[in-house]
Amino acid sequence: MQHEILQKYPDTSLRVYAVWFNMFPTDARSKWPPNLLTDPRVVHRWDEPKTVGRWFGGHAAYMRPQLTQHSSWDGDILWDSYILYAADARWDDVPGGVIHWGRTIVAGRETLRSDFQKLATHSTRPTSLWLRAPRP
Amino acid sequence: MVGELGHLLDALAVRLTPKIAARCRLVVTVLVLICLSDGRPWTGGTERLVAAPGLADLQGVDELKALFNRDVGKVRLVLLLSPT
Repeated sequence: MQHEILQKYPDTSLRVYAVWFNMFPTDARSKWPPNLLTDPRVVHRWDEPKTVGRWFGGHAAYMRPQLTQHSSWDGDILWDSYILYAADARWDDVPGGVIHWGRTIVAGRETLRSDFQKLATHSTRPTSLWLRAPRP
Repeated sequence: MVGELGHLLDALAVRLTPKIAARCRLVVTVLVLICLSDGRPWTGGTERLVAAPGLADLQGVDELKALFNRDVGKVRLVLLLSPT
């Protein structure tokens, strides 16, 4: 992520929310890797009770059509996952404007890479359709 | 540190010509600066210093929602990660 996306597109107007929580028995806050995502556009949060993973797990149905081709998921707590949103996306009841989401992150990385490539191509035109949320 | 070594060189300067003493002072100053800069004095500004990110506790989904809506206008990427 740091090398393939963030360093490759340093001028993209982007915010990344990296939400960390325990999923493996060996996980712990003390094992958080501070040098993994150092881009200043990344906001890191520790979510001990896994509230975000549970929330997205319970709201995955609405964004199922945007699941990347090689991804699969069915569970209560969404993790090892990314969700990419358009620039004009807003979060009312649920966050709208999902471009794609993937699980695992590795399984969805080609789509993520492709989406960022499109973003970089169109980023000189702020009104680009690509930057708008997809129509339902 | 530079000053203390400078005094030492001043003491030695009685036996050195002023020109040699000045050169010694310059060499010592440069060596001290190299030591103070972790042995990498010539980065020439090509390396961008990046502060280590912090890890704050998330105050529930509402905090993520507030951050998300604060950043309207930017492409946003949510990553759900475990540390290991």
